[in-house]
Amino acid sequence: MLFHELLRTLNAIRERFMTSLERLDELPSFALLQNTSDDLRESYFNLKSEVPQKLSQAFESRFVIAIVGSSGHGKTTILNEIFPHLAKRGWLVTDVTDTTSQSLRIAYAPPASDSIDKVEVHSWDIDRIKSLFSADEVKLQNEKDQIQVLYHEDSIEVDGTNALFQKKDLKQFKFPLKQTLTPFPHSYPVPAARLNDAEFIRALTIKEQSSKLKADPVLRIDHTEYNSLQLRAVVKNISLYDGFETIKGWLRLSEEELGNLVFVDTPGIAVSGSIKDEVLRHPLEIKSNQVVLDLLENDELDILVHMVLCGGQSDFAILWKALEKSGKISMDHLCERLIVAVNGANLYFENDDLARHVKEGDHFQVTLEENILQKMSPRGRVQPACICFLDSKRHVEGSGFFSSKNYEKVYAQYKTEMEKWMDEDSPARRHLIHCRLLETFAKNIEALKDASDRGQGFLIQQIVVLIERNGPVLLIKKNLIRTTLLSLCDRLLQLLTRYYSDNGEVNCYATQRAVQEVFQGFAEDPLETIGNFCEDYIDGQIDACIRRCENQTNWIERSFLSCCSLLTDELLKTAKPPDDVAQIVRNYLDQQMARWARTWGYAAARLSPPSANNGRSRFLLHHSLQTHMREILYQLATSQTSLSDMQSFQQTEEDREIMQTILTDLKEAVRDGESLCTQYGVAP
Amino acid sequence: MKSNTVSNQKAYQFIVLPYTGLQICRGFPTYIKEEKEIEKIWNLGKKIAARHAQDEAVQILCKHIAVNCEVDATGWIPCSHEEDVFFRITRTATSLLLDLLIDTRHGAGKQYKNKIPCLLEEKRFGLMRTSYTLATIFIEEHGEASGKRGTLLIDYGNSAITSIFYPTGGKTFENTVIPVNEPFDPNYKTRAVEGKRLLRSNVCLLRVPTNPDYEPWVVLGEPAADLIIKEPLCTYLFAPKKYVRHWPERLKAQEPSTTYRGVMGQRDGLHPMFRFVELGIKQLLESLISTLVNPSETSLSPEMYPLIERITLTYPQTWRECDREKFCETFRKIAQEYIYVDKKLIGEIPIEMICSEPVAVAAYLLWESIFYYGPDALKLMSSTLGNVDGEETLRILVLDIGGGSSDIAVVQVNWEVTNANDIDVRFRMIEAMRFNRAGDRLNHILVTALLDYFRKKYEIEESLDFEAEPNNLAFTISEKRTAITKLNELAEQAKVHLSQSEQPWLLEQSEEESLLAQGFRPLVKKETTADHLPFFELDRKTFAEWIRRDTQAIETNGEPGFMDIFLFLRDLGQTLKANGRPPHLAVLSGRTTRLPIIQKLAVEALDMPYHRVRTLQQLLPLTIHRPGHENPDKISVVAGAHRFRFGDNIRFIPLPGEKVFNRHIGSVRETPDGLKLNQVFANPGDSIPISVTSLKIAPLKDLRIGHSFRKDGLAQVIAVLSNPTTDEKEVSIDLLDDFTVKLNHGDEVTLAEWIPGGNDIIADNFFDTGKIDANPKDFIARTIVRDFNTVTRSGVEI
Repeated sequence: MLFHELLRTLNAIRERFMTSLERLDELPSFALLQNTSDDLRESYFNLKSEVPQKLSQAFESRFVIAIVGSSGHGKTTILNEIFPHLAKRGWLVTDVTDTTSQSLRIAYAPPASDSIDKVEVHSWDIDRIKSLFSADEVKLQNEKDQIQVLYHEDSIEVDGTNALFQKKDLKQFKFPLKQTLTPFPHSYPVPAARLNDAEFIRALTIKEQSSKLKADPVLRIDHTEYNSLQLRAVVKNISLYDGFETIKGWLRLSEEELGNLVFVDTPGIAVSGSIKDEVLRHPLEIKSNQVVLDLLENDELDILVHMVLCGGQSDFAILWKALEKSGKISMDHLCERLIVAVNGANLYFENDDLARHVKEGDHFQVTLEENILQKMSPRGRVQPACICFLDSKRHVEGSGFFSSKNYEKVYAQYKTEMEKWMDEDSPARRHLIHCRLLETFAKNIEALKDASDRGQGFLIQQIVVLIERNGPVLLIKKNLIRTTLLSLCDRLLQLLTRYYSDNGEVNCYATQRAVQEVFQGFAEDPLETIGNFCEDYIDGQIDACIRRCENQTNWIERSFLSCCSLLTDELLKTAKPPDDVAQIVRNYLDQQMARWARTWGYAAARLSPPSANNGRSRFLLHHSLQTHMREILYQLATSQTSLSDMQSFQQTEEDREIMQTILTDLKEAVRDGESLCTQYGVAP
Repeated sequence: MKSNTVSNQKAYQFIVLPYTGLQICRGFPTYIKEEKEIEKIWNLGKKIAARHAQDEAVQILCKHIAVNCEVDATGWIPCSHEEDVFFRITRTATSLLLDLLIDTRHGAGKQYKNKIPCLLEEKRFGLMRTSYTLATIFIEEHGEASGKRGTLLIDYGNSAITSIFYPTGGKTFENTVIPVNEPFDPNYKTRAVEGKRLLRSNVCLLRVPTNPDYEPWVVLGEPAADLIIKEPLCTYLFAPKKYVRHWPERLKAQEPSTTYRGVMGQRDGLHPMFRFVELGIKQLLESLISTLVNPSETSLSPEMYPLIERITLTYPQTWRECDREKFCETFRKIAQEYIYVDKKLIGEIPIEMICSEPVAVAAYLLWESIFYYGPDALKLMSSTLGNVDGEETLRILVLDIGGGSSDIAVVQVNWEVTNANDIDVRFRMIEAMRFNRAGDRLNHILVTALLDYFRKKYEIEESLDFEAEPNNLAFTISEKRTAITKLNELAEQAKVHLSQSEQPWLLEQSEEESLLAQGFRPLVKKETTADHLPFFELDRKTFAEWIRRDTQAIETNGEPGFMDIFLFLRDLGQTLKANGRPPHLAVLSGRTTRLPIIQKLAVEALDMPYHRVRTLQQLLPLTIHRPGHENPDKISVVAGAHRFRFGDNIRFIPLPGEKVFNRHIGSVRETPDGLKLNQVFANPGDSIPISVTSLKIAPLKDLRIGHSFRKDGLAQVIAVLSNPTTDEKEVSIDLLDDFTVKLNHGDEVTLAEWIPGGNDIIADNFFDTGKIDANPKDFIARTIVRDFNTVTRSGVEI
């Protein structure tokens, strides 16, 4: 679960790329080239602006596991039993359903360490808070209620003094009708004195009854005070630490492996608005979903555990739709890191409706297929990476004084019944197979029966199994593909090789002098001349180039290379430069051809070769080649630097060596990245 | 009473369905075969028809209905009083045929199971009666017809409309554009199918019953253009879409209005222009359904009945939400009232505003490209579309120059091939702008130059303005309309010629004489010929020069000219480049973009090479060989909307716009160089929305709010705050995005939203008014086509 080697390689790629950027910014030849070439300057600027912030920090083999589910599906109860220490400290509240909308981030800390008691509160930035208010449905509701919102540069002012609240609601209001929401200037480390302050913790985590609520400030950061209503809107997450004692009891994991696991308790999705949110009722109604979406969109989650109460329906489709719309995440990739955890397996026997389905043998059809897998996505059935069943001691045994049930005894009875579901003649077996559950179900039952596990341990084990199985793929996709690191390395390399030779020498002067000589005829209006030149010398011959190659393997790439040769020949034939100049141009174009073939997709494209009856692919390729031949001429015509500046420039040996290192680093980065992708079957 | 009745058992039935518009059946067969009887009935028919010759409806039908006027025919005979059901008898060498007409929207024409005889009846000798039932018209229930479920997709353009009926579950290619039959088209035989597919949007009223319960007869398309020349006083809308605009109560007084007058009949007073837009839409829907039911207007019974499950519309990029809602609501209301709905299938027809027009164009381009390249060559496709650096996303700038407005949109696209080989295409709009200058502006410039030429050569001084009193009383509105139509036709000719040829366009002597003989007839001597100097010759270079001169000016009160589209493009291109996301490709769509100068101007403005600034025709070499797609710029919006909605395994997912401002927004001041920003409230990159408080407006003054790409660049007005009081007022506004301003506080201050890209909704609409080069007077002649030298045939300038 540690993937040291893989992580080292990934970080090496990242470091090579980032160091290359740093070096480039200090390299005199590169600075001069940027000053003299608009094309280089713009391309480099574009590339740099696409470098994500994430690449400035080393990749970690940390896996963030989020528990996502609707309110009332028992998410916090389960977490309570997995993290009893945090529950005891009051951070995991289960006695109320009205919790505030923020995520709890639970990381590992050795029990005796200093950080075990550390708690930090983080806020959203102003843009994110603004987005709560500028969502269409919120705007509409606020307007309807005549709640005035003013959007200032660093705060939002919400004024409900003229709002149309019902009198009975107004009577319950505890906070002023005018609220200013300001993001924290920095995160708030909870002082030691307040770590066990129940009132403080409750103010942060739950929406108290009006009678118990105080409108006083809960905390103060720099000069700004925040009451609990304001905190509900501005707080993004709370970081907590735990010794993972229960998990240690279930799995033998090293300290380092435990340190790689981070659990995130997300707020319940699909919650409805609460009058307790007073003047902020409309924006806070959508906040829970926004918190989860934020985590997903920002790629902060590696594994998603979707918890659904047995017999209950999944509301995941709400997130799915929003995620699709955000466009920031591949939904196909999401499934491979998704676990569905069905909570409350006892309900198959305790709930009358479910018990009836159990008798009829279609209980998986209803509880898994219809209620969850077919409901999770608006695009049809979802097949998660894993499905498991779990339960909570509190629910099975009941809570309170009159609790009389014993978990183990109850499950001893259920176990016999559940095992029958795997029998050859059981109708439930078909569903177990369909849901790819048959293999793990027996172990899952064993775990459920075990009062110290309750399927919770099994869930954690499944998470670990998933990480072990898919960890490398997840890490590669997350760090190499989704950050676009590999593509950035490749693009930077391609860009530099237009101006430098492999040994780091600025080659563009000679090349461009040669190109300029060849392009003398293009001088008046190069853009129009490009079209005219191609129409006169190239377009008519493209078909022949394709036909020569179409019966060969890699006919698309070969056709392209053949056209490039044609272009070079025709260009030199027309310009008639001296032999040495012609040779430089030829060498340069030869070098670039392979790069273009790759970057423009000729090397990877698969089109069926043309046949006697169907010349479509030839026609299509003809179109691409026509366009790209013009593009080549355009690049040659416009990537010229100001030669007078370049002429006086003498590249130092140090400059050359640094550039050689950069080019070597980038080549290695691309090579290593591509080989990782090949090794783990990830599409680059 | 004795009667000699020929039983209607023999008569053939014309079966129609209610709510299928005006149903025509030409050449309907009769049972009459005997020569004697033919003669008898023919004579009787003529006699009866003569009795109705003065009926209002009959008079209209005689001149305007789409039947063959060259055949030997009786006049029109009403089947019954007060019902719009008529027939006429036509005679061939051996038989009698009928032309039938029934309005299925009212009265007898919409009564299920109603049977209406086409009866010839004559009383003889007092009580004796002879009657022949030549045909019956039967109103069948919809449920009995072969229903075909599907979606109606409509691109309602300023100058033309294209529509598709896409059967539910059909193949993607099963979507040919409907060639709309216009029932009031006496020249139907000579209309090209292409003209029916690309139905001109203009609307003209034909018959206006005084009874408000009866809807008028409305003519659309080319027949409407023909009609207005003959009947210049009819209510006529040249580009109806320009009148689709939400007018809040406080601005209602500014809503344009006109008379309500047909060839026959009128209603009192002035009526909002939008009322006629609604009538046009109603007529459009009816004609579409009528065409689907009875495609050649010769079917004896319905070929099928389209069970419309939804109507899908596109809209201009920068229509405000309220304008979109108004447009959508209009279709909803009309569909609810006039389209039959199978309640077992749906409650009511949903109207979907599927995507904006430039997005539809981009969707069309992408769908067609992805379709042909396939999932295994998408990188090649992307680079062919200009993404030559291998970036993750493709950015496409669409410049759609339509008939009356131009849309610019930049969409950022990426795609993902899923495990099932489906392709999810995600779209995000990153910039958008609209101009009220488009193809009609170029016509306006050309018409001004032509008119100027005619004035000088033939010493014509009369104004073509419909409202101007002529010195020569014979130069009536009808003459003026004819002249304008002819001038516009010549302008079109010039544009087409300059699009296709490098040679200058020469005004043919015959064309010149034709205009003299028609529109300008009362103003020139009868024997005037055009065979003397000078001649009108226009080359590409001169035309390009004119376009370049057409920019925003103080004189035009800051209204942009055609060239401002490209100045905006330049600023946009620079901004996108500075933000690290220059467009990879610029797609030129709309007929006007076929002019080579448009490509050149776009190339210059965007600083991009020609092969990355292309028309759809140039970008889709395989598509244009498919039947119906030969002119992709004509169908790209409707076909793109179709792909957007029913893309099969290529699925389009629109992403919400970015929540940041892309422009500087602030108050606006006038400078000699045009409008510029004064106090800036929001800058590019700031998150939306922003509130501006304590904004002071001087007594009796306006404060204009505008946006621009550069702080010191040209600004476009987006809203005007007016203080009508004599006290200074303090207001608070919200800037909701680059185009939308909301007034929060401000007693008595009013906010008027402006349409960016030109607020004058009827800019260049000289066709409706006759006001050529009137805004301001002679601006085009003085500023744009100045120094124009007409030439001799040998090319020597005069």
